[in-house]
Amino acid sequence: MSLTPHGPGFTFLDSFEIIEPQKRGRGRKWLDPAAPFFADHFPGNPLMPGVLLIECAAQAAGVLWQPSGGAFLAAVSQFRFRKPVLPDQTLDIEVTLEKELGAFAQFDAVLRVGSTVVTQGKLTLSRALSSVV
Amino acid sequence: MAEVSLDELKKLVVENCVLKIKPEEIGEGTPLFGPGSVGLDSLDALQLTVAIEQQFGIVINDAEVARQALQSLGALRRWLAQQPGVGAK
Repeated sequence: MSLTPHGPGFTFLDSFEIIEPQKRGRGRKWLDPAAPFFADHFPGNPLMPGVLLIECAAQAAGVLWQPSGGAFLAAVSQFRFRKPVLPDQTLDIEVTLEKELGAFAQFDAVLRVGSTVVTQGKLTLSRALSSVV
Repeated sequence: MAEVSLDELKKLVVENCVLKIKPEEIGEGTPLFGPGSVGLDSLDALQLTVAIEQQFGIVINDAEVARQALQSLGALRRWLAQQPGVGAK
């Protein structure tokens, strides 16, 4: 059973472990070298796209906050892509809820390969589509 | 307890929000949200509550409280003055 409401072609989470309920959790994602985006990003030099690293973090935050689904990406900020992420690597995706207000929740995200931080930043999820007014 | 200055709150808004007007055009009574306002949106409100928590140690978890406190810089200053232990960190 999928952890997120996404279809198999857009699932960026293999497993998720709650560290502290509604506060902190850790997901994992093995990057299949056969994933179609690696063929074109870039031909002969496959590299995990930054936007998909953000998607990994968003899906992990969504599972932590709204495990039955219904969380939508509302904002991203301060993301840093510190190291290249390559096919066949396994991402460790740690998300921490920093603030919840109304329909929104802000998370800090740290993505690692092994013990190396490859990406980090903040993102905001919303319980509803188009709720930024 | 030291009262928080208008300039301090204006700096808070400028540093944490996406403004649709120039900072010098923000007055004490200028609405932060809605028509004729500074132009903030609900994500800016979330950012402001995070900044207020970091700077003044006051936690806002209730959206209605946030709506009342964040009507304008003047409203925010008055609201902060009512909170126990407020002082810029």
